[in-house]
Amino acid sequence: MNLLDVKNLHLNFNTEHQQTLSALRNVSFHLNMGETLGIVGESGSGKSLTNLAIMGLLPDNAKVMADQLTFEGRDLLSMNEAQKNQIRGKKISMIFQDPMSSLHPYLTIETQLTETMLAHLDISAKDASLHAIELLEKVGIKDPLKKLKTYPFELSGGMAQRVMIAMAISTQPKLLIADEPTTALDVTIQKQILDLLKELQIKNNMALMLVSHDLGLIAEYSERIQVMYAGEIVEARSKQDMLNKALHPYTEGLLKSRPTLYSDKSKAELYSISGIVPTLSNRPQGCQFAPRCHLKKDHCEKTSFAQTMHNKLSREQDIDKIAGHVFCLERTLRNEV
Amino acid sequence: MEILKIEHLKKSYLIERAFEKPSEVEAIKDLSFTLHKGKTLGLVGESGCGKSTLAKILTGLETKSAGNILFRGKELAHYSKAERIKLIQMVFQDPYQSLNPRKSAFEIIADPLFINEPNLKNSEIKERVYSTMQDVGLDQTLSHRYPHQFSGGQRQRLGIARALMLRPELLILDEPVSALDVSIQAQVLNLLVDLQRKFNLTYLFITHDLSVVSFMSDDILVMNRGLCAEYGSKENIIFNPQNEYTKLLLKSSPGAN
Repeated sequence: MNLLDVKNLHLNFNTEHQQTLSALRNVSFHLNMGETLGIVGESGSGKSLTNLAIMGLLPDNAKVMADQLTFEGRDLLSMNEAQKNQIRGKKISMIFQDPMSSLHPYLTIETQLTETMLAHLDISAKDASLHAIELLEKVGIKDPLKKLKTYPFELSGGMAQRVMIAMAISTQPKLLIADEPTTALDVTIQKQILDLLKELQIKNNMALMLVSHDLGLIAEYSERIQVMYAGEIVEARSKQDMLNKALHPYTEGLLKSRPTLYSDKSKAELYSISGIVPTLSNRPQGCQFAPRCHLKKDHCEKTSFAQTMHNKLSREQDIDKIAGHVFCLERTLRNEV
Repeated sequence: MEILKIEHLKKSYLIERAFEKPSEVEAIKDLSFTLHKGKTLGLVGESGCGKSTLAKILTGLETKSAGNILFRGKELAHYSKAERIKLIQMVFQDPYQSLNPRKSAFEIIADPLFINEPNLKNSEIKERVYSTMQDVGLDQTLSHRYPHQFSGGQRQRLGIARALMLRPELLILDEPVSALDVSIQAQVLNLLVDLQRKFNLTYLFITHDLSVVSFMSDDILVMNRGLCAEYGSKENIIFNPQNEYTKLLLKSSPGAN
């Protein structure tokens, strides 16, 4: 049994104008204990919505459908709020992008840190405070006793993110979802924070879902990588395989368009993917990437490859085969896969 | 040819608190560099190192505390405001906040002309707006649209077009691609390179991303806490860094290894 199983997840939004917008389609993946899954995608690719669907934090007009959405074998979709609250914050924790706006400005670090523990663990307020000191030490904050009494505005961005991490691991969760945890931080601080997450993951045997728009960063810290585009997974493979040869034209484009330390404007211009990500109300019929793709054929605009691949692979009853696949039919047909 | 020469630039702010003596904070402690015509200087550093303060001083939004800023051999402060505006222009980081939402693309791009070149005829303004839109890769049929109708990349193209309207010599680019998606970043970076070749522009490229800076720059200046940590040719800084802080930045840069 996997820690987290997501099979054929669909997410629709109902608008005020009786319109249905499809935000996620045929999203399938799984996560084992202690594993790191990197999710890469641009804005609007659905990576954050996938997380929110797992956490059950979507607004009322969102409709989530899935063949399977289970955590430790328990169905997340059929749970009521009280049951979800037993899992959220205790077994699944989440870290958000901007630590400054995720912390409550009026409450001390101590209040915010102990709140989660008091809600989920059977301990006294005094013990929770003692545990909070330990946690702050664990995430590398000096002089934790003094820091407990401070307010968020007294902390730097990196410090605030460490507090968020301390809060997230205070209940020893099985799964930690880090949604762009370092986008708001400087590069040197970014490395410290990600190294810390890695270290805590190994210590607690915690599964980590690392979400970012930066493929370079994801590649450095995860074993498996999943690339999302316009609400679909386009490629999901092990890091080595993907970096050796990206199979989906979108992944290929992402890898090529990022400048490296060796790139030089006088030698060659940067590879760029033309066009833009389609908006939610403007999604094409067939392959989502077809309008921007250099390999595009006629059939690409007619068939939804995610759907085709899903049908084909789900017959094999083996989620791992889906998880190690590429949803580009054009390449499949040309036997490049 | 030397276009901008900065010598021992210093900028400090007075922090005034009630019932206390005002204290001084030094944003830029001592900075010297030279910028050559048609070249790009990459300015790298983390938040709070003074890079934006430098941009503000060069565009005249702040005044320096000490040191010399020589533009073509003449002290920048001795140019009139109107002259300076035509020499130095700026492209901002966030294309969502730096464009007036109530103005159409045409008005945004034409504004610098309305203000600084009042003698131009309407037909001339139109012609210049459309040709600049073409230069930055925007179709002229989009000129009546408002900022919210453009994508992030298109908005940044608008910001670049606005900065180019007065045909400046020096363009300050303050994190011009960090708010954009990876696939759009490459488009905008390529555009900036093309424009530089076409108009022989000089760039001061401010960023925290070492990969982007090594693609764009001829020279690189690494700033740390208001001081120059290291300054030299791109090859030296990226492949043979001497300063500990530069080494730390290179090591922390994801995907760099």
